[in-house]
Amino acid sequence: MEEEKKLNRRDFLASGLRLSVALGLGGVGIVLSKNSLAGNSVWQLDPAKCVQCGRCATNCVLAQSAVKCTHVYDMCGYCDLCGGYLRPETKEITTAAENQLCPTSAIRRKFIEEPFFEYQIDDKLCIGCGKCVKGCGAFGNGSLQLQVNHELCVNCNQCAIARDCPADAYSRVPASDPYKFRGYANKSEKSKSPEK
Amino acid sequence: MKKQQIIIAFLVLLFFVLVYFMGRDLFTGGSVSQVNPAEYNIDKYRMVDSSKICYSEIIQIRLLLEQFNGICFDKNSNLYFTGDQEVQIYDPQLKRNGGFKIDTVANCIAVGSKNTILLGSGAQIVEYSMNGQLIRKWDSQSSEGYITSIVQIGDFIYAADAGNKIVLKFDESGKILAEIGRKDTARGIPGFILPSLYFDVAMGPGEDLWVSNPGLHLLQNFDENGKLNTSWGEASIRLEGFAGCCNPVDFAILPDGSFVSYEKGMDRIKIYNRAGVFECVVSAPTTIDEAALTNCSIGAKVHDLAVDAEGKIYALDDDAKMIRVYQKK
Repeated sequence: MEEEKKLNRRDFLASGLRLSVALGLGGVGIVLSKNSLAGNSVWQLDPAKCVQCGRCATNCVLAQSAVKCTHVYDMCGYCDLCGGYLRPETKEITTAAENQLCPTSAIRRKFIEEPFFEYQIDDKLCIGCGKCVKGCGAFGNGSLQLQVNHELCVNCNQCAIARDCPADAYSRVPASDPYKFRGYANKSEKSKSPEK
Repeated sequence: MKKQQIIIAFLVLLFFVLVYFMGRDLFTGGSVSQVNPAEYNIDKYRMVDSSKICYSEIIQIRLLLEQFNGICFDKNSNLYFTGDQEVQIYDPQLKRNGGFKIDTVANCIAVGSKNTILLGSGAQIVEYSMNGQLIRKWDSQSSEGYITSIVQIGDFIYAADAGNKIVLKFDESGKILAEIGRKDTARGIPGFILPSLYFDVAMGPGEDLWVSNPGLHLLQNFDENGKLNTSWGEASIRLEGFAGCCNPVDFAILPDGSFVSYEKGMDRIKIYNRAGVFECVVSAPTTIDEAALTNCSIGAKVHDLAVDAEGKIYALDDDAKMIRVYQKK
C-alpha cells in the first residue's frame, strides 16, 4: 500500500507563491483588458447640476481654467436684452464695458438683424467663472453652459475642480463623447457658431 | 545623552504634528475657500417690498397630475384645466363636476362661445363637447405650427401659433381667415419675437384682441383685421418692467380691463392698469432657490393664468404642482 505523500513546508510555500503570482497576473490582465475595452475617459461637468459657484475658475491646475463657457446656439433666443451678457440694471443696451456682466469681456455681441444679436464666447478670455451662465439661466433660456474644454484640459487623474465641486457635477465620460450639453445641441460635438 | 533625548523628543513632536496635518487633510477635505471672486448675487432683484403686494393667496388646489398645461374659465366661472391627457372641469365652488380623457397632450385650453372646449395640441386645434365628444380638429397653417394659446371672440377663434410666430384667425369651422402680427414695417407691425415657446392671446373687456410679444417685452392690441392699435411694456429688471430675455410669458385681463402678467425666470405676477401702468404685485418671486433659477430654460416650466368673473387670479405653479388662487386684499 502506497504511503500517503505529505506536503512539506517548502512545497507548500512554493505552491502558494505560484498561486499568488498566477492570481496577480490574472487580475492585472483583467483590469487592463477592461480598461482597454472601456476606452479612454475624460472629465466633464453636467450643466444640469452646476450651481455656478466659481470654483471652476479658481481650482483648475492650469493657470487659466480649462472650464469655459460654451454657447448652445440651438437654445439661444438671440435676445437684445441678454441676461448672460448685460448687467441687470443696465440703463442702455450697449457693448460698453460698464454694461457687461462678464468680468473679462469674454462675450462678443454681434448684430444679426433687428432685434436679434448673436453672442460668441472668446475662449482665450473666458475664465470659467460661470457668471454669465447664472444670468442666462435666471433670465434667459439657459443656453450658456460651462463645459470642460478638452482642447485645454490635461485630464488629471483626480481633477482638482471635481474634488471640490459642491454640486458633484463632475464625472468621467467617454472620450469619444466628451461634452454634456443641456438642451437641443448635438451632444457629440462642441457647439459651434451657426453658419454666417 | 541629553542631546540624544532632545533629538528623540523633537522627532516624536514632529511625528505628531505630521499626523495631525495628515489627519486633517484626510478627514476634513482640506480648507477649500468658499469665496467666489465672481459672485453674481441676484437675490436682491427677487425681493419685493411688502407694501407693493396687493393680493393674498387664499386657496391652493393640488392636482394629482404629472404635467400641468393650461387653465381657463367660462362665462359662468366654471374652471377648466388640462394636464397629462385629460380635461378636468370644476364648478365655481371648485368642486369637480366633469372631465374626460383626450387622445394627446394639450398645450392650452379655452372655452368657445358655443360652450365647447378648444384645445391646442401641437399644430392642431381640437374641439370637444362638454361631455368629451370630439367635434372636430383642424390644422394650423403648417406642420411647424405649435399652438400655445386660444381665445374665441364673437364668431372668430384666435390661436397663438408659436411655431409660425403669428396669430391665426379662424372661423368656427376651422377655416383660416387671416394671419395677425406678421412683420410688416409698412403697417408698423414689428412681428412677434419668441425666444422660447411662450406666446399668449387674451380677450379685452371690449372684445378686443391682446397678444403677448415676449421678445419685445410688449403686450399688443390688434383689431380683427390685424391692424396694430396699441402696445405697451418696458424691458427692465425693475418691478415696473418685464425682466429677462422674454417676458411676460403669460397674461390675463381682469373684468375691469387691467392686466395680470406672469413672468418666468423671476416668477412674479403683477397687475398693470388699462393703460399699462404698473400698479402692484400679486405674487413675488419665491424664496431664493438656486435650483429654481436654472429652471428658466426653454420648456422647463408651464406658466398659465386665468381670472374669474370676480377678479380672482388663478396661477399654475408647475414646481409645486398646484393652482394658486389669489384675491385682492
